[in-house]
Amino acid sequence: MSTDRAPEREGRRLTPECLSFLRQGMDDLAAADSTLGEHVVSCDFCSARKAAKSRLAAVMSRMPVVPPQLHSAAFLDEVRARIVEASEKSQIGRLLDDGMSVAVPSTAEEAWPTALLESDLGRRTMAMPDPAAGPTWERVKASVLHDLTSHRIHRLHRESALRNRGLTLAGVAVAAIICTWLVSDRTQSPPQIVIMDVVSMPNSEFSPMTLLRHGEQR
Amino acid sequence: MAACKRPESEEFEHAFEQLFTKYRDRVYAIAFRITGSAVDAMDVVQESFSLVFRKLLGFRGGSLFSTWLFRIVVNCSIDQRRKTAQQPFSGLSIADSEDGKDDPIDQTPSPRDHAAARELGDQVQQAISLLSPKLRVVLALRYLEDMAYEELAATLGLSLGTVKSRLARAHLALENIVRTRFPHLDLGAAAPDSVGGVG
Repeated sequence: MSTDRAPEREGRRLTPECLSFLRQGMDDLAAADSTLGEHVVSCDFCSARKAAKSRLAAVMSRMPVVPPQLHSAAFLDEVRARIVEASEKSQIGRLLDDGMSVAVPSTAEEAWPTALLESDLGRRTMAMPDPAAGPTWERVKASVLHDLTSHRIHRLHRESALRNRGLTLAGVAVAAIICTWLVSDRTQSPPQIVIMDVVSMPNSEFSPMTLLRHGEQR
Repeated sequence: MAACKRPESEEFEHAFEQLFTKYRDRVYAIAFRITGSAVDAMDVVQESFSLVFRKLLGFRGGSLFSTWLFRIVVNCSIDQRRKTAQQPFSGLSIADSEDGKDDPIDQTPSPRDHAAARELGDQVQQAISLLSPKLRVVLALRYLEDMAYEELAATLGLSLGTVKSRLARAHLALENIVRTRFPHLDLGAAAPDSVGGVG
Protein backbone atom coordinates (compact mmCIF):
# COMPACT_ATOMS: atom_id res chain seq x y z
CA MET A 1 0.00 0.00 0.00
CA SER A 2 1.33 3.39 -0.92
CA THR A 3 1.82 5.69 2.05
CA ASP A 4 0.28 8.55 0.07
CA ARG A 5 -3.06 6.76 0.05
CA ALA A 6 -2.88 5.59 3.68
CA PRO A 7 -5.73 6.92 5.86
CA GLU A 8 -5.05 9.44 8.56
CA ARG A 9 -6.11 9.31 12.20
CA GLU A 10 -5.48 12.14 14.68
CA GLY A 11 -3.17 13.92 12.26
CA ARG A 12 -0.88 11.02 11.50
CA ARG A 13 -0.79 8.54 8.66
CA LEU A 14 -1.60 4.96 9.53
CA THR A 15 0.91 2.39 8.45
CA PRO A 16 -0.15 -0.99 7.06
CA GLU A 17 0.76 -2.47 10.46
CA CYS A 18 -1.57 0.00 12.23
CA LEU A 19 -4.41 -0.98 9.90
CA SER A 20 -3.68 -4.64 10.40
CA PHE A 21 -3.80 -4.13 14.17
CA LEU A 22 -7.13 -2.27 13.94
CA ARG A 23 -8.62 -4.98 11.79
CA GLN A 24 -7.36 -8.12 13.51
CA GLY A 25 -5.22 -7.47 16.57
CA MET A 26 -7.82 -5.50 18.47
CA ASP A 27 -9.86 -8.63 18.97
CA ASP A 28 -7.10 -11.10 19.75
CA LEU A 29 -3.52 -9.87 19.63
CA ALA A 30 -2.15 -13.18 20.85
CA ALA A 31 -3.53 -15.00 17.85
CA ALA A 32 -2.20 -12.42 15.43
CA ASP A 33 1.21 -12.38 13.76
CA SER A 34 4.09 -11.92 16.25
CA THR A 35 5.41 -8.92 14.30
CA LEU A 36 2.10 -7.19 15.02
CA GLY A 37 2.79 -7.48 18.77
CA GLU A 38 6.16 -5.80 18.30
CA HIS A 39 4.51 -3.03 16.27
CA VAL A 40 1.96 -2.31 18.99
CA VAL A 41 4.68 -1.88 21.57
CA SER A 42 6.60 0.55 19.36
CA CYS A 43 3.60 2.49 17.95
CA ASP A 44 2.02 5.14 20.18
CA PHE A 45 -1.23 5.15 18.25
CA CYS A 46 -1.75 1.40 18.45
CA SER A 47 -0.66 1.07 22.07
CA ALA A 48 -3.13 3.83 23.00
CA ARG A 49 -5.87 1.93 21.21
CA LYS A 50 -4.96 -1.28 22.98
CA ALA A 51 -5.11 0.44 26.38
CA ALA A 52 -8.44 2.09 25.51
CA LYS A 53 -9.92 -1.22 24.51
CA SER A 54 -9.06 -2.85 27.83
CA ARG A 55 -10.66 0.10 29.66
CA LEU A 56 -13.77 0.39 27.51
CA ALA A 57 -14.52 -3.23 26.70
CA ALA A 58 -16.25 -3.86 30.02
CA VAL A 59 -18.27 -0.67 29.76
CA MET A 60 -19.26 -1.25 26.17
CA SER A 61 -20.38 -4.81 26.75
CA ARG A 62 -22.67 -3.71 29.59
CA MET A 63 -26.29 -3.16 28.59
CA PRO A 64 -27.18 0.52 28.81
CA VAL A 65 -30.09 1.57 31.00
CA VAL A 66 -33.18 1.50 28.84
CA PRO A 67 -35.48 4.51 29.25
CA PRO A 68 -38.91 3.49 30.59
CA GLN A 69 -40.58 5.29 27.66
CA LEU A 70 -39.25 2.57 25.39
CA HIS A 71 -41.62 0.10 27.07
CA SER A 72 -44.67 2.34 27.01
CA ALA A 73 -47.58 1.91 24.61
CA ALA A 74 -47.14 5.52 23.58
CA PHE A 75 -43.71 4.76 22.18
CA LEU A 76 -45.10 2.06 19.93
CA ASP A 77 -47.70 4.59 18.80
CA GLU A 78 -44.91 6.97 17.92
CA VAL A 79 -43.28 4.24 15.88
CA ARG A 80 -46.54 3.71 14.03
CA ALA A 81 -46.95 7.43 13.44
CA ARG A 82 -43.45 7.48 12.05
CA ILE A 83 -44.30 4.61 9.71
CA VAL A 84 -47.33 6.52 8.45
CA GLU A 85 -45.32 9.72 8.10
CA ALA A 86 -42.63 7.91 6.12
CA SER A 87 -45.25 6.24 3.92
CA GLU A 88 -46.99 9.53 3.24
CA LYS A 89 -43.72 11.11 2.19
CA SER A 90 -42.84 8.16 -0.02
CA GLN A 91 -43.90 7.48 -3.60
CA ILE A 92 -47.09 5.73 -2.49
CA GLY A 93 -48.10 8.82 -0.52
CA ARG A 94 -47.50 11.07 -3.50
CA LEU A 95 -49.43 8.66 -5.70
CA LEU A 96 -52.37 8.82 -3.30
CA ASP A 97 -52.18 12.59 -3.11
CA ASP A 98 -52.26 12.91 -6.90
CA GLY A 99 -54.77 10.13 -7.50
CA MET A 100 -57.20 11.18 -4.79
CA SER A 101 -57.23 14.82 -5.84
CA VAL A 102 -58.34 13.75 -9.30
CA ALA A 103 -61.09 11.50 -7.96
CA VAL A 104 -62.90 14.31 -6.18
CA PRO A 105 -62.53 17.83 -7.54
CA SER A 106 -62.61 20.37 -4.74
CA THR A 107 -64.94 22.71 -6.63
CA ALA A 108 -67.57 22.22 -9.30
CA GLU A 109 -65.70 24.50 -11.73
CA GLU A 110 -62.78 22.11 -11.78
CA ALA A 111 -65.01 19.35 -13.09
CA TRP A 112 -65.70 21.35 -16.28
CA PRO A 113 -63.24 21.46 -19.12
CA THR A 114 -62.38 25.12 -18.78
CA ALA A 115 -60.29 25.12 -21.92
CA LEU A 116 -63.27 24.01 -24.00
CA LEU A 117 -65.63 26.57 -22.45
CA GLU A 118 -63.17 29.32 -23.19
CA SER A 119 -62.75 28.25 -26.81
CA ASP A 120 -64.42 30.02 -29.75
CA LEU A 121 -66.97 27.22 -30.05
CA GLY A 122 -67.79 27.45 -26.35
CA ARG A 123 -68.28 31.22 -26.51
CA ARG A 124 -70.58 30.97 -29.54
CA THR A 125 -72.61 28.21 -27.92
CA MET A 126 -73.17 30.17 -24.74
CA ALA A 127 -73.72 33.57 -26.45
CA MET A 128 -77.22 35.20 -26.31
CA PRO A 129 -79.10 35.51 -29.68
CA ASP A 130 -78.41 38.69 -31.63
CA PRO A 131 -81.47 41.06 -31.43
CA ALA A 132 -80.80 42.07 -35.05
CA ALA A 133 -81.65 38.55 -36.12
CA GLY A 134 -85.42 39.14 -35.35
CA PRO A 135 -86.80 38.84 -38.92
CA THR A 136 -84.95 35.62 -39.35
CA TRP A 137 -86.66 34.22 -36.29
CA GLU A 138 -90.03 35.37 -37.64
CA ARG A 139 -89.42 33.41 -40.82
CA VAL A 140 -88.46 30.39 -38.83
CA LYS A 141 -91.62 30.71 -36.72
CA ALA A 142 -93.84 31.03 -39.83
CA SER A 143 -92.22 28.03 -41.38
CA VAL A 144 -92.76 25.97 -38.27
CA LEU A 145 -96.43 27.03 -38.06
CA HIS A 146 -96.94 26.21 -41.73
CA ASP A 147 -95.46 22.80 -41.22
CA LEU A 148 -97.68 22.18 -38.23
CA THR A 149 -100.84 23.31 -40.10
CA SER A 150 -100.16 21.28 -43.22
CA HIS A 151 -99.47 18.34 -41.08
CA ARG A 152 -102.89 18.73 -39.38
CA ILE A 153 -104.76 18.91 -42.73
CA HIS A 154 -102.95 15.92 -44.00
CA ARG A 155 -103.94 14.07 -40.87
CA LEU A 156 -107.65 14.99 -41.31
CA HIS A 157 -107.57 13.75 -44.92
CA ARG A 158 -106.05 10.56 -43.84
CA GLU A 159 -108.63 10.01 -41.10
CA SER A 160 -111.52 10.64 -43.59
CA ALA A 161 -110.10 8.20 -46.09
CA LEU A 162 -109.79 5.61 -43.39
CA ARG A 163 -113.42 6.09 -42.37
CA ASN A 164 -114.66 5.71 -46.02
CA ARG A 165 -112.60 2.65 -46.50
CA GLY A 166 -114.17 1.15 -43.38
CA LEU A 167 -117.72 1.73 -44.66
CA THR A 168 -116.90 0.19 -48.06
CA LEU A 169 -115.43 -2.86 -46.40
CA ALA A 170 -118.56 -3.23 -44.22
CA GLY A 171 -120.85 -3.07 -47.33
CA VAL A 172 -118.78 -5.64 -49.15
CA ALA A 173 -118.96 -7.91 -46.14
CA VAL A 174 -122.79 -7.63 -45.95
CA ALA A 175 -123.15 -8.34 -49.68
CA ALA A 176 -120.93 -11.36 -49.35
CA ILE A 177 -123.06 -12.71 -46.52
CA ILE A 178 -126.30 -12.30 -48.51
CA CYS A 179 -124.83 -13.98 -51.55
CA THR A 180 -123.62 -16.82 -49.49
CA TRP A 181 -127.05 -17.25 -47.99
CA LEU A 182 -128.73 -17.22 -51.37
CA VAL A 183 -126.34 -19.70 -52.86
CA SER A 184 -126.65 -21.99 -49.91
CA ASP A 185 -130.56 -21.89 -50.25
CA ARG A 186 -130.43 -23.06 -53.88
CA THR A 187 -128.20 -25.89 -53.21
CA GLN A 188 -130.59 -27.46 -50.74
CA SER A 189 -131.31 -31.15 -51.42
CA PRO A 190 -134.36 -31.65 -53.75
CA PRO A 191 -137.71 -32.46 -52.09
CA GLN A 192 -138.38 -36.14 -51.60
CA ILE A 193 -141.42 -37.45 -53.51
CA VAL A 194 -143.35 -40.06 -51.62
CA ILE A 195 -145.90 -42.07 -53.54
CA MET A 196 -148.76 -43.09 -51.35
CA ASP A 197 -152.01 -44.89 -51.68
CA VAL A 198 -154.64 -42.25 -52.44
CA VAL A 199 -157.38 -44.35 -50.83
CA SER A 200 -156.39 -43.13 -47.57
CA MET A 201 -156.67 -39.52 -47.49
CA PRO A 202 -153.55 -37.78 -46.42
CA ASN A 203 -153.84 -35.88 -43.34
CA SER A 204 -153.31 -32.59 -45.03
CA GLU A 205 -156.16 -30.21 -45.47
CA PHE A 206 -154.49 -27.55 -47.43
CA SER A 207 -152.42 -29.48 -49.82
CA PRO A 208 -153.20 -28.42 -53.46
CA MET A 209 -153.02 -32.07 -54.60
CA THR A 210 -155.71 -33.00 -52.07
CA LEU A 211 -158.00 -30.35 -53.43
CA LEU A 212 -157.42 -31.61 -56.98
CA ARG A 213 -158.13 -35.26 -56.14
CA HIS A 214 -160.77 -35.07 -53.50
CA GLY A 215 -162.17 -31.69 -53.75
CA GLU A 216 -162.51 -29.42 -50.91
CA GLN A 217 -163.00 -31.25 -47.70
CA ARG A 218 -166.26 -30.63 -46.07
CA MET B 1 -42.96 -14.74 9.99
CA ALA B 2 -45.68 -16.05 7.69
CA ALA B 3 -48.12 -13.47 9.05
CA CYS B 4 -45.69 -10.74 8.06
CA LYS B 5 -46.39 -11.43 4.39
CA ARG B 6 -49.91 -10.03 4.50
CA PRO B 7 -49.93 -6.42 5.64
CA GLU B 8 -53.70 -6.10 5.25
CA SER B 9 -54.31 -8.65 8.01
CA GLU B 10 -54.49 -7.97 11.72
CA GLU B 11 -51.90 -10.72 12.25
CA PHE B 12 -49.37 -8.57 10.50
CA GLU B 13 -49.74 -5.93 13.18
CA HIS B 14 -49.51 -8.51 15.96
CA ALA B 15 -46.41 -10.03 14.42
CA PHE B 16 -44.83 -6.60 14.18
CA GLU B 17 -45.65 -5.88 17.81
CA GLN B 18 -44.04 -9.14 18.85
CA LEU B 19 -40.89 -8.32 16.92
CA PHE B 20 -40.85 -4.85 18.43
CA THR B 21 -41.25 -6.14 21.98
CA LYS B 22 -38.62 -8.81 21.49
CA TYR B 23 -35.92 -6.65 19.96
CA ARG B 24 -36.49 -3.08 21.19
CA ASP B 25 -33.99 -3.24 24.08
CA ARG B 26 -31.20 -4.67 21.95
CA VAL B 27 -31.91 -2.19 19.20
CA TYR B 28 -31.77 0.62 21.73
CA ALA B 29 -28.47 -0.68 23.15
CA ILE B 30 -26.80 -0.76 19.73
CA ALA B 31 -28.16 2.64 18.82
CA PHE B 32 -27.06 4.12 22.14
CA ARG B 33 -23.54 2.76 21.79
CA ILE B 34 -23.19 4.19 18.30
CA THR B 35 -24.86 7.54 18.80
CA GLY B 36 -23.80 8.07 22.41
CA SER B 37 -27.06 9.82 23.21
CA ALA B 38 -30.27 8.47 24.74
CA VAL B 39 -32.39 10.91 22.73
CA ASP B 40 -30.72 9.98 19.47
CA ALA B 41 -30.94 6.31 20.33
CA MET B 42 -34.69 6.55 20.87
CA ASP B 43 -34.97 8.26 17.52
CA VAL B 44 -32.96 5.48 15.92
CA VAL B 45 -35.25 2.86 17.48
CA GLN B 46 -38.26 4.56 15.93
CA GLU B 47 -36.62 4.94 12.56
CA SER B 48 -35.28 1.38 12.53
CA PHE B 49 -38.63 -0.21 13.33
CA SER B 50 -40.33 2.07 10.85
CA LEU B 51 -37.97 0.76 8.18
CA VAL B 52 -38.42 -2.82 9.36
CA PHE B 53 -42.17 -2.47 9.06
CA ARG B 54 -41.97 -1.13 5.53
CA LYS B 55 -39.30 -3.58 4.34
CA LEU B 56 -40.59 -6.67 6.08
CA LEU B 57 -42.37 -7.84 2.94
CA GLY B 58 -39.05 -7.81 1.13
CA PHE B 59 -37.24 -9.87 3.77
CA ARG B 60 -36.75 -13.25 2.13
CA GLY B 61 -35.06 -14.97 5.04
CA GLY B 62 -31.70 -15.09 3.30
CA SER B 63 -30.12 -14.22 6.64
CA LEU B 64 -31.19 -14.34 10.25
CA PHE B 65 -33.87 -11.81 11.03
CA SER B 66 -31.74 -10.37 13.84
CA THR B 67 -28.78 -9.93 11.48
CA TRP B 68 -30.99 -8.11 9.00
CA LEU B 69 -32.50 -5.96 11.76
CA PHE B 70 -29.15 -5.01 13.31
CA ARG B 71 -27.78 -3.95 9.94
CA ILE B 72 -30.69 -1.59 9.67
CA VAL B 73 -30.04 -0.30 13.19
CA VAL B 74 -26.35 0.27 12.51
CA ASN B 75 -27.08 2.17 9.31
CA CYS B 76 -29.75 4.28 11.00
CA SER B 77 -27.41 5.05 13.88
CA ILE B 78 -24.67 6.18 11.54
CA ASP B 79 -27.16 8.37 9.72
CA GLN B 80 -28.30 9.83 13.02
CA ARG B 81 -24.73 10.62 14.02
CA ARG B 82 -24.17 12.39 10.73
CA LYS B 83 -27.31 14.44 11.18
CA THR B 84 -26.37 15.42 14.71
CA ALA B 85 -22.84 16.29 13.69
CA GLN B 86 -23.99 18.60 10.92
CA GLN B 87 -24.47 22.24 11.77
CA PRO B 88 -28.13 23.18 11.56
CA PHE B 89 -28.54 25.02 8.32
CA SER B 90 -31.76 26.77 7.53
CA GLY B 91 -30.73 28.27 4.20
CA LEU B 92 -32.90 27.76 1.19
CA SER B 93 -31.94 25.48 -1.61
CA ILE B 94 -31.36 26.90 -5.04
CA ALA B 95 -34.78 25.78 -6.18
CA ASP B 96 -36.47 27.32 -3.14
CA SER B 97 -34.60 30.59 -3.31
CA GLU B 98 -35.79 31.25 -6.81
CA ASP B 99 -39.32 31.09 -5.50
CA GLY B 100 -40.57 30.01 -8.92
CA LYS B 101 -41.41 33.60 -9.84
CA ASP B 102 -39.05 33.87 -12.76
CA ASP B 103 -39.68 30.40 -13.97
CA PRO B 104 -40.07 30.70 -17.74
CA ILE B 105 -41.80 27.32 -18.02
CA ASP B 106 -45.58 27.46 -18.10
CA GLN B 107 -46.83 25.46 -15.11
CA THR B 108 -50.45 25.38 -16.29
CA PRO B 109 -51.52 21.76 -16.74
CA SER B 110 -52.18 20.86 -20.36
CA PRO B 111 -55.12 18.70 -21.55
CA ARG B 112 -52.68 15.81 -21.72
CA ASP B 113 -51.77 16.43 -18.08
CA HIS B 114 -55.46 16.40 -17.21
CA ALA B 115 -55.99 13.12 -19.05
CA ALA B 116 -52.95 11.55 -17.45
CA ALA B 117 -54.07 12.71 -14.02
CA ARG B 118 -57.54 11.27 -14.60
CA GLU B 119 -56.05 7.95 -15.66
CA LEU B 120 -53.82 7.94 -12.61
CA GLY B 121 -56.84 8.63 -10.43
CA ASP B 122 -58.69 5.69 -11.96
CA GLN B 123 -55.79 3.36 -11.34
CA VAL B 124 -55.31 4.55 -7.78
CA GLN B 125 -59.01 3.98 -7.23
CA GLN B 126 -58.72 0.47 -8.63
CA ALA B 127 -55.79 -0.26 -6.35
CA ILE B 128 -57.62 1.11 -3.30
CA SER B 129 -60.69 -0.97 -4.12
CA LEU B 130 -58.56 -4.09 -3.65
CA LEU B 131 -57.95 -3.19 -0.01
CA SER B 132 -60.26 -4.33 2.76
CA PRO B 133 -63.03 -1.84 3.63
CA LYS B 134 -61.39 -1.02 6.98
CA LEU B 135 -58.14 0.03 5.36
CA ARG B 136 -59.90 1.78 2.49
CA VAL B 137 -61.93 3.96 4.84
CA VAL B 138 -58.96 5.11 6.85
CA LEU B 139 -56.99 6.02 3.71
CA ALA B 140 -59.90 7.87 2.14
CA LEU B 141 -60.55 9.98 5.23
CA ARG B 142 -56.88 10.72 5.67
CA TYR B 143 -56.27 11.84 2.09
CA LEU B 144 -59.62 13.26 1.04
CA GLU B 145 -60.62 14.93 4.29
CA ASP B 146 -57.06 15.51 5.46
CA MET B 147 -58.08 14.26 8.92
CA ALA B 148 -55.61 14.19 11.79
CA TYR B 149 -55.16 10.98 13.78
CA GLU B 150 -57.38 12.32 16.56
CA GLU B 151 -60.19 13.17 14.10
CA LEU B 152 -59.90 9.75 12.51
CA ALA B 153 -60.09 8.09 15.92
CA ALA B 154 -63.18 10.11 16.85
CA THR B 155 -64.86 9.55 13.47
CA LEU B 156 -64.25 5.82 13.34
CA GLY B 157 -64.63 5.19 17.07
CA LEU B 158 -61.17 3.69 17.36
CA SER B 159 -58.20 4.20 19.64
CA LEU B 160 -55.36 6.38 18.45
CA GLY B 161 -53.06 3.38 18.26
CA THR B 162 -55.48 1.41 16.10
CA VAL B 163 -55.85 4.35 13.73
CA LYS B 164 -52.09 4.62 13.32
CA SER B 165 -51.59 0.91 12.88
CA ARG B 166 -54.38 0.75 10.29
CA LEU B 167 -52.96 3.66 8.37
CA ALA B 168 -49.53 2.08 8.44
CA ARG B 169 -50.88 -1.25 7.21
CA ALA B 170 -53.04 0.44 4.59
CA HIS B 171 -50.04 2.19 3.06
CA LEU B 172 -47.99 -0.96 3.07
CA ALA B 173 -50.79 -3.09 1.61
CA LEU B 174 -51.46 -0.51 -1.08
CA GLU B 175 -47.78 -0.31 -1.95
CA ASN B 176 -47.77 -4.07 -2.25
CA ILE B 177 -50.80 -4.02 -4.56
CA VAL B 178 -49.35 -1.29 -6.74
CA ARG B 179 -46.04 -3.11 -7.06
CA THR B 180 -47.66 -6.39 -8.06
CA ARG B 181 -50.68 -5.27 -10.10
CA PHE B 182 -49.81 -1.81 -11.34
CA PRO B 183 -46.05 -2.04 -11.89
CA HIS B 184 -46.15 0.78 -14.45
CA LEU B 185 -47.00 3.19 -11.65
CA ASP B 186 -43.34 3.57 -10.77
CA LEU B 187 -42.75 3.48 -7.03
CA GLY B 188 -38.99 3.50 -7.33
CA ALA B 189 -36.72 0.51 -7.08
CA ALA B 190 -37.65 -1.95 -4.38
CA ALA B 191 -34.84 -3.26 -2.28
CA PRO B 192 -36.01 -6.60 -0.93
CA ASP B 193 -33.84 -8.15 1.68
CA SER B 194 -31.44 -5.26 1.36
CA VAL B 195 -30.80 -2.26 3.52
CA GLY B 196 -28.31 -0.64 1.21
CA GLY B 197 -30.39 2.48 0.92
CA VAL B 198 -30.58 3.04 4.64
CA GLY B 199 -27.08 4.13 5.43
